[in-house]
Amino acid sequence: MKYYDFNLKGSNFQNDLNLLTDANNLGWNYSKLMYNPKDYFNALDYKDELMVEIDNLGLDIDFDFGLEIITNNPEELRKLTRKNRNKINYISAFGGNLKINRSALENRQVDVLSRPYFKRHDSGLNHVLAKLAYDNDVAIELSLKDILTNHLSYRAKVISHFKDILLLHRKFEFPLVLTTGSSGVYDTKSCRDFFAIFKSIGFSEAEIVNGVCNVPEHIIDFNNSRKDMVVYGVRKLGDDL
Amino acid sequence: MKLKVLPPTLRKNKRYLTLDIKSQSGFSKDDLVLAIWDACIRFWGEQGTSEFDLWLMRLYSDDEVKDYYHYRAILRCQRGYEEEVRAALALLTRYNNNKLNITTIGLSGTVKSSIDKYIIG
Repeated sequence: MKYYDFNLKGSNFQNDLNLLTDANNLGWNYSKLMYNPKDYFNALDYKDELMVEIDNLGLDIDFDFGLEIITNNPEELRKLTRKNRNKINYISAFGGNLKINRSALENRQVDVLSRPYFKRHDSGLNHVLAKLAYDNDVAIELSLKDILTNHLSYRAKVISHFKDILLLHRKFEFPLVLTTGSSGVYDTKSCRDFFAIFKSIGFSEAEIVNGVCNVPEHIIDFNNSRKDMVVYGVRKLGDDL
Repeated sequence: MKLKVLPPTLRKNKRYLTLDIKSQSGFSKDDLVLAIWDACIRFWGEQGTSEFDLWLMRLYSDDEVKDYYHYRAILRCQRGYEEEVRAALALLTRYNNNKLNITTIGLSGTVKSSIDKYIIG
């Protein structure tokens, strides 16, 4: 089984290398380094160098870069996804704003709606949005970082939002992705610790495996076949058929 | 007068967690004990933590120069509660206003095997 962490905060070459080294030592097999639209194309300059360095260190970890769109304007979100969809393999929309939550879940070109509960008094999702997520195959991301960075009553509220989203996930079966959201050496967690935390919150083993292994794998496979897709559901199989 | 030792069938079964600790500042064994108890009581409450039977057995410091202070420790807990302790420790991010990251890197049945496997090995 491969463990995927779909949200590491990318910043610069050295920090990214440290994050990937730590992730490898802690049992992760695949990491997505997330950048905002400004930094993404700068980061591409050192991607090959990072790959070579990882090979030199003998690390057994795959990685890729992803785009994280942070905006309060749904129109801007639509524009940015349309503009970058063909160039970038993984696009996530940062949630928290109800308009953005809805706009991201209505848009098939978005892979993941990240942290819809961010700085909210509710989970940011309801049954309508949950159905939209299922219909459009947009995953919802829950980040461990939100539990780690909050304390006492705030942490309890975040956990409560996680439980609300889990309840909707059980009923509507939209894809759910669980990530660490690490940005430095003090945030990285091992796979076993990650499983233990989510189990203690109330997730079942199968739900965690889905969130860390199956759903991320499906997203990667789906995005790799996106260029052969004529419309959603119709795919070119090759000239020889 | 010392209490007579319990027969093996009445003793609690133990497991030993090997911890990897990264900290922004140096700390002593007593500080770590307080931090571990604080983490467990915050997350599981007094009643939950009473089941864990926590005891810090060893603390080793890594002398290699890094951006952070690096330690390894062996923590005893009751068998069956390893996952709960692991989760509570993973959620400890700050102690005395210093950043702290505790990761459980191993689980053993004896102190000796945890030292051989995860401290020396």
